[in-house]
Amino acid sequence: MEQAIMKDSYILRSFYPVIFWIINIFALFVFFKGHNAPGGGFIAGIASAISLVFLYIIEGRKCLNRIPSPVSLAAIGLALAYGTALAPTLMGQAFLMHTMWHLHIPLLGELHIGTPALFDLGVYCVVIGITVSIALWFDEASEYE
Amino acid sequence: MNTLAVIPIIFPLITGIVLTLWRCSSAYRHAYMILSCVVHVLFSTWLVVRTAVEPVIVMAIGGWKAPFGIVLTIDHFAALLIATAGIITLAVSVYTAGESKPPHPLRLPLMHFMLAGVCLSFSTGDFFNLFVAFEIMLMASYALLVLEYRPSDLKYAYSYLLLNIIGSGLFLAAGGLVYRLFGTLNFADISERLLFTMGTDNRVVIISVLMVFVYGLKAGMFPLFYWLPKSYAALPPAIGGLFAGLLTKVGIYALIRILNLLFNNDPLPLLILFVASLFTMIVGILLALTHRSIRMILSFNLIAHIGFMVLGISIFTGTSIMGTVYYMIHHMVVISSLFLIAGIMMNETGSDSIDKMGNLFKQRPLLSVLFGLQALALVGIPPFSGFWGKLIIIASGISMGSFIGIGALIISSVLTLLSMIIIWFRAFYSETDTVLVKHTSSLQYVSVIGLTALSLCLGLGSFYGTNAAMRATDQLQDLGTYQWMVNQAVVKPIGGVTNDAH
Repeated sequence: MEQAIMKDSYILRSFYPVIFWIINIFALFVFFKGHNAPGGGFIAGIASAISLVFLYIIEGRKCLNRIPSPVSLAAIGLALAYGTALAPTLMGQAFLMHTMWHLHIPLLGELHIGTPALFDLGVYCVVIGITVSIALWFDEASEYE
Repeated sequence: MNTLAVIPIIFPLITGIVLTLWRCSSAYRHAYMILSCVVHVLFSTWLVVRTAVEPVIVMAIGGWKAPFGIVLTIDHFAALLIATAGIITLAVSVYTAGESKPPHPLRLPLMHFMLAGVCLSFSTGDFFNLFVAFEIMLMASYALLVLEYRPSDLKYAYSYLLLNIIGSGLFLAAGGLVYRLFGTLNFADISERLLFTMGTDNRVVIISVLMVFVYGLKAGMFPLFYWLPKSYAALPPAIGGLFAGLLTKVGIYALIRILNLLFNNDPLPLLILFVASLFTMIVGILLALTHRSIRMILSFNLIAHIGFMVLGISIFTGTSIMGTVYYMIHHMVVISSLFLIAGIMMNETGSDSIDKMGNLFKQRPLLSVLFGLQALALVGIPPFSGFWGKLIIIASGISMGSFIGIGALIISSVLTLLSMIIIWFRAFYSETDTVLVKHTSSLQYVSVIGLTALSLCLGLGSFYGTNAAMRATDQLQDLGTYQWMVNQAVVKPIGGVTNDAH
């Protein structure tokens, strides 16, 4: 019932792609702003999850065909974060040890690339996966009533 | 660099991730899970053997030096509990593999995430990290609780959730107080700084009392056990066995570890523990006698026996802690095997009320013998495993003149025997026959037989058991060596794998 009402909202439907990309570009910005400033994988993940929940509100259950299974996404994210934590152990360093590379790139100036970004990417995936699956479960539960 | 300390946590986590991705239920999936548990058990057994002779294994996570970074420390006590937790998870995994109805696809990974949280709580050397470990464990347990619920049982999950959230909030508050007071969250560093607080500092006492409340809640101590029995009885039998074996004991472990660390000769926390243990023992066992559902009886027995361990902690001498350690390990094995046996009984008779069972002894002699052995172990009849831990606790209580506690312990033990006799004469050895509705798979018997054999070994090998418990207690109380080992944990310089100075 609710979904039928939502579908009728012409404004939401036509503005949705704009909102979707604004949210995700902002999420990208927040993601890379992290580490030394407020931001990072968790907040970016929440933002992106909101955009996906939006998609679900507008399209209903059929949008699930277009996005990966949320629980698998969370597991993949966990594996990524965990792999980043584990990789130094295999090279004889401490568990969760991080590595930074400082690169000089013309035009862009100095660029810091580190393994914490990969870890954060894992966190990002976990947060999206869990948040979206919680939203889906709530929706399923409300259908029974 | 002791990377080894992290392996008991790595293993269940990897298995959890793999099993989340591999969701279609098949025999291979169960086989993989059992294999992973076996590796975990073998590795943690090796840790037990290693810590029996060597000092505590310390690992600085991320290469950050001790008081600033998080350390993982595995001493003999932690290694023993990690190994026992691994064995119980192995038994529950085998038991789950034998279930006729395939479990929810997320049950198996959640079991492993819970094991990871439990192992992290046993091995962490940092206060906030202990909180994180508790949360990992609790998150997995919340999910397991509602994964396969019947709608009528959902209300029990609410009380579990609510009380544990209150407990976590207070835990966090206590962590904040610790950081404010000591300026550090590292166990070794806290115990060093505690030496500088002269006499009895009331703030330390407040923190200790808060801790007693929080861990008492997790352990199921007297006024705080409301959440435990009904939520345990509503779980699927396999998960009930896992919860009963692992969750409450983590509370007891944290109680021992933190009191050992923060104790500064003020008797108040111990007095609270003592009074709570009396009520836990007596009230728990009286409630067990009023119930007819087999899992409710076992849950209240579990609470009563938590009282024994809390009494052992409240006496707080080396001997009593040693008895508590022995009793903890025995109780983890015995209570989870009894929950699994109860699961088999429920599966076969189609009911969990002992009034609806009857004369199982004639129809299922093996099951009855297993139940009888484990019930005797739970009561603590001499050659069995429950006896030795209780004996040590009683001996230490007599030497400290704590006769009220000893009296309550003995009364509670006798009533435990009574509650086991009631189950025996109702379900196993009565006139009326029950119609058995199902046959249990042999895998479930294998898992219960394994746990029973282990408990027999714990009872008959009491010499080795007491030696291990003594070693664990000595190492636990030797804070000087602990501090030294944590502070000298080798740290490699940060800056990439190429910059290898050591």
